Amino acid sequence: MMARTRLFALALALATASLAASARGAIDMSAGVRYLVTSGSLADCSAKAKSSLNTFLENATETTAGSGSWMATGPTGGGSTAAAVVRCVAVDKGYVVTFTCAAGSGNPYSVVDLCLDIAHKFSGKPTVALATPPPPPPTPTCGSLTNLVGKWVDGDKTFAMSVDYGLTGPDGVSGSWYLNGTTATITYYGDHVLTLSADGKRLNGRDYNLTRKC
Amino acid sequence: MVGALAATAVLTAVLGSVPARASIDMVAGARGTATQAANSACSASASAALTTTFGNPAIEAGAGTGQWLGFGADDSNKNPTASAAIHCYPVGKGYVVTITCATERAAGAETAADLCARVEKAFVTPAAGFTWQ
Repeated sequence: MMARTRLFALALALATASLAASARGAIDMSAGVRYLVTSGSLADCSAKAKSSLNTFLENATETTAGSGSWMATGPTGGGSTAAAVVRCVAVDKGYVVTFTCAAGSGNPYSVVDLCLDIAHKFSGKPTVALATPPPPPPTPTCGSLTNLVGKWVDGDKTFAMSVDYGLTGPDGVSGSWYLNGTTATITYYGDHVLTLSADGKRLNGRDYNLTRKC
Repeated sequence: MVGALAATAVLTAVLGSVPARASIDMVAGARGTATQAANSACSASASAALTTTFGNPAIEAGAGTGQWLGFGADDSNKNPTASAAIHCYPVGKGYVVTITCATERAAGAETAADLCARVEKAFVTPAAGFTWQ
């Protein structure tokens, strides 16, 4: 693509370095790809940044109008376990563009793969298919054994679990939930492990004993 | 008794391996321009800022790239819950530096914007010819 547009581009693809510099964890970050385009406008960079972000994530927006800094979140289809920032900086008659990606644990694909795909889309190189995000939990039904969506109570405390794995606690503070079999992990002022009862109506653990509000 | 302890150990191992789905907060932080400073000075400031902010040694994403990563405090599974990246790039006789941050969304957790503000504050800038945008 860059050849077609006659931009003389010097690409510094640092995928290997990026791999070495990422870490698996609750937050995984990749910062290893950068391009220098010696001929091109900031507007060109911004247009490609937005397009490449929206190919793999959602809702690419410029953080401040005209800044050349773009951000999007994902995975596509809903969720906020992955995000990427593409930053365009004008240099002489061209620009430098950097790609930084982050993902939380539970994200379906590698943050390094995500960042490489966004960078390759930007530069017109082939991209690879990212892992398909798991489908969102089905419509909440009281007593469901496959999701925790709905309201749960523990005494005078009410927790609202949403379809995007979010959680809102009694004080309005947000957290998250995850269900693996009958084992639930509630992240709310730390991680809390609870067990879902056979009828799907109770969550019991050391810190909370929740009853599904039907 | 031994059986109960063994069962507890197994249960702990199983429960400990359950992956939590972490929602993240990411922000494009400050961008700075130095008109008269070497890119190596940017790298030195980046490394120091990330190391100071997180209390863990910063990592350069490939020697000499000027692209630095820092990872923060661990969660209960010994995984970092915050990270930041600093990109240094030479421009003319100076450099451009950008800071990008991400944190796990959790009750009481620091926001990515606040984290980026701390990293920016810890980044030592040249005495003259430097501006944050």
